[in-house]
Amino acid sequence: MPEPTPPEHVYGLNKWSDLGYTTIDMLYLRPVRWFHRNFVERFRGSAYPYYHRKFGAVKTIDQCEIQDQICFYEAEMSFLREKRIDTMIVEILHDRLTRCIAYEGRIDALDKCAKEKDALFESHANWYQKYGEMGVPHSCIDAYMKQKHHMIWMRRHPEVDLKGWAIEREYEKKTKDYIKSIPMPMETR
Amino acid sequence: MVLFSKFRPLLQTVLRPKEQLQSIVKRWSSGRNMRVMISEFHERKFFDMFHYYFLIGLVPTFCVVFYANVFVGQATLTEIPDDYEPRHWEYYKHPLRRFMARYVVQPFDERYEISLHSIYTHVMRDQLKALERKVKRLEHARGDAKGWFYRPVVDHLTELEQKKAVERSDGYSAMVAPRELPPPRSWPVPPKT
Repeated sequence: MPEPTPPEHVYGLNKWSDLGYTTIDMLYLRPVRWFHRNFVERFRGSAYPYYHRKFGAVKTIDQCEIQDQICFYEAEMSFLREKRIDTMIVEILHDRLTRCIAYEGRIDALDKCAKEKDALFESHANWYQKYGEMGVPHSCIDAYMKQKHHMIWMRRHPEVDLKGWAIEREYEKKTKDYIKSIPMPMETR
Repeated sequence: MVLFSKFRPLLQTVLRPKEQLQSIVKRWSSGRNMRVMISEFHERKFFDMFHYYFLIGLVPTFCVVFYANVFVGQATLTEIPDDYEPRHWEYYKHPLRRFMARYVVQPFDERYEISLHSIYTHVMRDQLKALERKVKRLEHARGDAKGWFYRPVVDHLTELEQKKAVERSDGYSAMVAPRELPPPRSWPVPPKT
């Protein structure tokens, strides 16, 4: 097919078509832009940098000696840092899915937001596997023990498939196949 | 607060003085009356004081914040150069936050190191205390070390008791049938012939 050209005239788009956006534009955005161009950009001093904090690699809890309280503290702090980062990651992925749904609409989101949904599902499951269901408060040693017990459980139950999202995709596929198998005269689905 | 003056008629309806006092005829012709009003002094005084003390803090704060946001501006994120170690306030973006980190607040890394130091000190202290307890316990049990409580007196009876206790721990049969002959006598010395 030939490449799609952008429309020459968008019907229904004029300066009276959206009163809300126009009001906000006049009252807030235009004065702010004017002020920024004429005063801030002229009189602002030179730019100066700021840096992203880097934390050095420390021993994790499995490498610490017995009764080494300092090593325990450092491992605990790095564990808490990583927990906060992982929480932010899950939050961002959740945000992406919400924005995708808002952009596409509730119905199209079922088709178009599957990747975001899978990513969120997987990351949430991994977060829960690493940090969840240990009780409050919990330490890095509790997480380490949880990992150990999980590995023991996996060794004892090798037949269990822990990829839950695969099950969900299977279920969706079955639903779609069933809907397709229903005989209908025209493409009304 | 400026519009309070518009509400005066409402104030008059709520807190209306008595009908007799409302119109005082005082050498004026008929139709002209003196309106007895509630004093405005108190509300004016209150709002004056409120404005004064409230704005004493707000005006300088607003000026400082305006200057920091408009004329100084926020920092830009850059990669750390290889040979440079950033100062602790250079990890923050907003200029006022940088100011606080530099002059007011304890640095983040310093706080971490102080915690590590306190843990180290506590551990050392605990170990030394445990050592002292062990030493005291052993000294009390054995009673053979020259401590501050030591008196240079040989306690024959106690030494004998300890020896007997060792022998008893071997068993009574060992006493009855010893493994070796006792050592030869050293006294009396046999005469020289």
